[in-house]
Amino acid sequence: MLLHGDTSAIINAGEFVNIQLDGFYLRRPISVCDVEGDVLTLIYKVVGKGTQAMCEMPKGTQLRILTGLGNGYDLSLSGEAPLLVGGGVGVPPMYLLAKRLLAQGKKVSVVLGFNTADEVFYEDEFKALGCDVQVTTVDGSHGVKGFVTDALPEHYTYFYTCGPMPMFKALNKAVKTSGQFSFEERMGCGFGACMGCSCKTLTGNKRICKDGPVLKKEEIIWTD
Amino acid sequence: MDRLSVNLCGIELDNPVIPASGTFGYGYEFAEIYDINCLGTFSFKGTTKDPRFGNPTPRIAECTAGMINAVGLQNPGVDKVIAEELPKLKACFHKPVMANVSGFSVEDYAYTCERLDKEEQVGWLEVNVSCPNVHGGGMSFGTNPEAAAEVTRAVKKVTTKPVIIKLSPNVTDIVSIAKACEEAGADGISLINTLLGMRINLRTKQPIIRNTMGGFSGPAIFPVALRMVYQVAHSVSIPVVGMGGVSTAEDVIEMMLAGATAVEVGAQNLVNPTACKEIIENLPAVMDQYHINRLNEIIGGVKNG
Repeated sequence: MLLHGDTSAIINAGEFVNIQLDGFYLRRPISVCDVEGDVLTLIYKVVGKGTQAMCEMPKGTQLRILTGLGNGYDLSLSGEAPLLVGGGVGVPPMYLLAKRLLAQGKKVSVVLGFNTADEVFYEDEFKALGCDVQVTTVDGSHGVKGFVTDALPEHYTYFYTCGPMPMFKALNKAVKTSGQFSFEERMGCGFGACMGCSCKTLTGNKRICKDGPVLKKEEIIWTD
Repeated sequence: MDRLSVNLCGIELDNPVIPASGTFGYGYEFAEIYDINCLGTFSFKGTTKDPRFGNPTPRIAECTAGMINAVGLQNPGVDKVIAEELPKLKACFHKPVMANVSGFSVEDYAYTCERLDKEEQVGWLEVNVSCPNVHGGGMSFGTNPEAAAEVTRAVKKVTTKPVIIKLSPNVTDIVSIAKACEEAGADGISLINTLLGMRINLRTKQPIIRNTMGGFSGPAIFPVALRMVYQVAHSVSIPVVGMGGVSTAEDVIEMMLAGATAVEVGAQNLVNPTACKEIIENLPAVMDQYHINRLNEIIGGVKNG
């Protein structure tokens, strides 16, 4: 989905926007895939009635959106050769992050994980940016057969990731460096008011929407 | 006197619009978005004696015209609220604030209220005997007239500030509980807290809320809230603060006609962070439309059909 409007509140890769939809009480939080001038790119998966309604909206529809939500990724820790790992709907925020890191002259490796070839997206876009890209599919129908942890590069200085919890847990065990994870949770407001999406961390209680969604590896408490 | 002003338990409000506890934090998140000094006041996040993380997530479920929450009174505890949150609140809000208090025993309520009574900016104590999301406390005090009265008496002993008891709609006879609080010395009644609700995820066949149930709020509950405000306001002689699904200036006026002296706005702040500001800005035009000169003249003004 491409949107035109005031994008000035969006500062960091890894932030999200919260979209009001007619007929739905709560907004839909969607991660920022790319922002260029006044154009905002969002990529989302249809998982329920809200996202279904979003993909049925005609071109030209006006939306009320809260932008610039969440902390986003901290680029200052990336080192020279950061690794970006996106799983499924966690791939989109990796795109703006890759652009920002490449603009700083970093050597960016990207591993994108999907279930099957039909679900693969943005492989060419990441390659066009100049990233070293590996794609994995669980059924082996495209790229490396297996999970993102089966295609991690030999050398990287830091990692950034977004994706489903099982991938996070496997990745957390497989990685050799520190890094940052972007989490998902059912949200009420999306801007830190309702305490609907709180989680415990080693650095205190955090709101995924306001103090996250990005948490550092060292502060995360993993549960079964 | 301004057209919008009302007097709540002896304290003048510039307007009757009050963000409800749990939807407005300690104010400063919203102060980043607009100048919150346009509000009548606001009721800050429910505060308990000890720090609380609250319930496991998911704590939120969407509903038709509303939402369920099962946050479970997450707050840093009264000591940290006084030391860290209230100074931040004071920096962005310059009017008396409503302190919302919850507890798990009569002593808890009294302790927390006594601490907050000493805070100069606290204008009112709103005592929540109606949280549906905690066990062994909260709502269990608000579903029994004698227990609600006992909390009221204990709190009244430790403060000279107006005490407003916040009631639960999850009862058979809310009027008897309101009357018991009034007889125990309450200075006001606020209602309604959320309605106990539930949703099930059709894919997983599990409740969406990890705690199974939670408090249902939003525009869907407005008629139920209005009815209860009407019943309570016509049964007690102390001021009533109406809330439950209020999302427009029209809703505020309807609540006041039913008997509310002031009106709290809850869930709407979460879907539209500028909701209260917009309601306040819209009030004069809506008053003109319905030939209302001053809001304080319409309190309880509903006519018999």
